[in-house]
Amino acid sequence: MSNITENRKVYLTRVYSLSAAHRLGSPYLSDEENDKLYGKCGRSSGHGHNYTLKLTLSGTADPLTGMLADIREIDDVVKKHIMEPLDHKNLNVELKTLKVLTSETLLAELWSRLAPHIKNKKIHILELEETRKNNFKYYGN
Amino acid sequence: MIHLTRKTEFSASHVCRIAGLSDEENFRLFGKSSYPNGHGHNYVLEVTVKGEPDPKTGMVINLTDLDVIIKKNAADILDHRFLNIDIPHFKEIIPTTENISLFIWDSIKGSLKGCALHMVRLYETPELYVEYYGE
Repeated sequence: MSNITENRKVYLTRVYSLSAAHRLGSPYLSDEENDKLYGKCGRSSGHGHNYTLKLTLSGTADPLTGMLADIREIDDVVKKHIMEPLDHKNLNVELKTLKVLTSETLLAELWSRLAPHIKNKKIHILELEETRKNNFKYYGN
Repeated sequence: MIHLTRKTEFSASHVCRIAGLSDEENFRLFGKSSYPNGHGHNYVLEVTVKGEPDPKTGMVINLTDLDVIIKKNAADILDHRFLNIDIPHFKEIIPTTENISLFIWDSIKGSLKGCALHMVRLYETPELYVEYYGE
């Protein structure tokens, strides 16, 4: 089977939706300081988002299959390590190790949950949209 | 340097299979995409070109010209076709999103004048897309 993938670097992105509750609040700040800093995002009962998570892998496609990755394997990893533990959950409850639960710290946590299980593939970028207005990217560095 | 992106859509059917392998082996490699009669997608194609705006026109490239280049060389050729059967290139090469992206890059690149091809991004579905930057 011939192919045109030889030494050509492609990027493959898979998009996932994650709905979860959280609230912002830092244990290093007083109630008053938290309220001033985080405003409505820090209200004690919390709130929720439809997060969009974009996982981008990079590399050359397999000469046999013409694919960079088997999407089923990637989906399984995301399902097991992110969706099942976190989708429709309260992130402050599930991720107690995060002292402050912002999209920044959440994104880094999601990366560390995925990276060990993405075998033989390079994660190029992990992107988290908290809302359509707020977008966070992590390149692993 | 300005980057300019034009979006185009085309709909096509394809199947991901390796001839000579059994149905079971093909399913192991390609999943549902290996079902022998094929299936289809509404592909969304984003082509990004880059260059300096022409001092006279203020444009990197005339968007109408870019649209014609994309359609004539790639999108119209693939639109409403069964890629494995109708497109000679994909008689031997499996039309994965990766390979279709490379095909589109190779088909468009030579026709651009006054600007350079920066990226081809091809959405197979809203949840899955491939990008190629010519690397």
